Amino acid sequence: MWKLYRQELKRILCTRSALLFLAAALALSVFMAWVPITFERYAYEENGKEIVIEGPEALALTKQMEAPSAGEVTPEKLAQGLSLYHKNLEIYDDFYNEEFPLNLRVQEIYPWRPLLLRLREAMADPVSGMAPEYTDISTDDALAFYDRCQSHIADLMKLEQKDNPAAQQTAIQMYEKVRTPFYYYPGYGTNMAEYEGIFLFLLMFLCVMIAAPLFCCEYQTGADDILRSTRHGRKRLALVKILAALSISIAAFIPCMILFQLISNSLFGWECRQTSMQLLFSVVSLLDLNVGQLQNLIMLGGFVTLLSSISFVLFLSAACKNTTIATGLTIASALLPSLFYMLIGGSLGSYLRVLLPSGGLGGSNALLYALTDFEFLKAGPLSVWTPWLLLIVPALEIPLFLFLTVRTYCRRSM
Amino acid sequence: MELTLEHVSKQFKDRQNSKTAVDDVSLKLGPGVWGLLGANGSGKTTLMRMICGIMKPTSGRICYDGVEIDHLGDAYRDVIGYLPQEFGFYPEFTVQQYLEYIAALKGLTDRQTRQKIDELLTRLSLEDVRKKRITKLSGGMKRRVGIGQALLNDPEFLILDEPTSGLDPGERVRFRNLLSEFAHDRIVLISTHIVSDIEYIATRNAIMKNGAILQTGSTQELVVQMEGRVFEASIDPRDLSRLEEKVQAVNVRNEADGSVSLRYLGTPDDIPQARPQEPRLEDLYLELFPRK
Repeated sequence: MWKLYRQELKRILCTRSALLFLAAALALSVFMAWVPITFERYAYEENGKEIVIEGPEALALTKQMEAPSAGEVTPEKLAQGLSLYHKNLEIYDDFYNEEFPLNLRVQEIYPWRPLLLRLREAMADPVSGMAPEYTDISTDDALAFYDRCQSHIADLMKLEQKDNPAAQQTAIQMYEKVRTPFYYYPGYGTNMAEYEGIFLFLLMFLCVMIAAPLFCCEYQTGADDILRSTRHGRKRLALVKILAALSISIAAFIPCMILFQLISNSLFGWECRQTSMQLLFSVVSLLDLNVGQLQNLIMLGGFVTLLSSISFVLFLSAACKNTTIATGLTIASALLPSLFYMLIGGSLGSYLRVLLPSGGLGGSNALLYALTDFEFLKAGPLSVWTPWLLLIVPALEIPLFLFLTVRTYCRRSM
Repeated sequence: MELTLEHVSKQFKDRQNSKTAVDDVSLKLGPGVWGLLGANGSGKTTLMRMICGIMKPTSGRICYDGVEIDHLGDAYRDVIGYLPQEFGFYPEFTVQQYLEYIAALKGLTDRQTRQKIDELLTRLSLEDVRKKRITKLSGGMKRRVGIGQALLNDPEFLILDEPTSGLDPGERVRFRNLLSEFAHDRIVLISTHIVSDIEYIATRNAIMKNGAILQTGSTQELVVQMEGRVFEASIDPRDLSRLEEKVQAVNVRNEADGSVSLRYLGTPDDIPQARPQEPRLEDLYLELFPRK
């Protein structure tokens, strides 16, 4: 078995396309980790002229600027920031007022923005869901920030899941488990988390492209007849091919993800991993996770989805007559969850997305957005939070598709 | 060592049609070289694939030493070697890598693999191209690599589908000699539409047409029925077209004196001064598969 496995690995790794895809995966892990830092921008005024700095230098200045917000998010800190907002709004009426000096914004407004945006969100109107103006929030409100968060999740769930009291209840119970106070460390933004999702999608795409021709190219070239007339050319070969495809994907996934995480966290600062998820996305995000744990969860979701997509593509490969059809279907299967989610939308789009093996990877359908959202899907009498389904369904699909792959391959041309 | 086919049939069905590719074939193959002769589309490849266990018959049984090959499973695949008509190889593999891959599939140990590959590369004159990619080899060499993979497990039963297609005359002769050498105490089944491939080496032949076996026997037994049916006549080249419509031409040869020698199937009365000829397997083939 192991000899055959080594030979199959060697055969796959000898192919130019596989090597090309693996090299592309490695290059992408560097590129995708680096790109978000190019979006960093810092502006200030010097001699009446606006100076704009971009890239790593801008990130360093932003971290310096937001230093007062860094660390534990205490109600006192929120109240202090809010007082500065009130003072400036009394003078200039609006932050977008042209007379508002840029350097004053840099000193007194921007440093508190990450925290006060969350305060504003927590103070949203229970009926309309609209966030109030800063002038409508008092320092007392700021001091009661964490209590407001608890009431906000209840209000929000009434709006989001109007006809689903079970979902409302589940969300409230989940949020009760979120530990406070929150923590914030400047640097890591939502861009970085989004790029992790996009990178995982591209990595999955490259791995399924390696797996797509594994079975059907044998049918296409006629090699299959020789393989099937050998001692191990049936079930064992099918198992070995599956094992080889999964090994290559895992071997590509682990170093690429390590490289991606190393580069991105080194660029943005390892301390950012301690930032509470609630400070980065919604203040009532349902999971008690910091950025580091969120990164790991997205990585785990990506890993499960990758294995499930590979399993599905191997099944397609065993069922298709040639590589062109298998590759076409592979590309379609990778893109369908995003398309269903965007074009069909609603519950049907969500169900379809969840059922497809690559459901948690892509654009707006990505696991990250589900983790920061409040969507629950009904599965019989149960209301299940979508991210759980995006993690559980692919995990269940892995053995199913692998079984179907072996069965389809062994029964072919009989 | 005996392979038995009992009333083996294979039908392919699609939405509109049902086609019988192999029609009630019964055969007993014992040691020696067996030639399976038939025109393209006569069902040879389907029959070969069923014999290899790649395809299941719609009806009938295929047994090896009295046991159905399906029941033998791995044990049957251990004793067969198969070279399909068109075989895919892996473009990035060298000859050695490819043979190592197939050896692993055939369950050979590392030591057996090394020994067998060395031996076969020498026997098939492929030593010089051992490290060469298969894509860089000539058609004949690729075919030899294909034969090499079939021989890796030292099979008791070798099944070769159109093994000489793409080989030049010299390679064909070498290939025939190799098979004759190999066939001692083994069953070798060669399917072909090239009569000369099997005429001199086949112990027994089976002639297949429209999915059915028309005749079986040694070359001598088969050609005996053609006695008194094969003639040769010297004719004027201008009469050739007219005569070709009247008789089944086997061979046309231009002579130095400007005349044409026509070997044909028919009666001595068809062409005046026709001389009877010793029949060959090719004559029988043309009788059974007449040119249209």
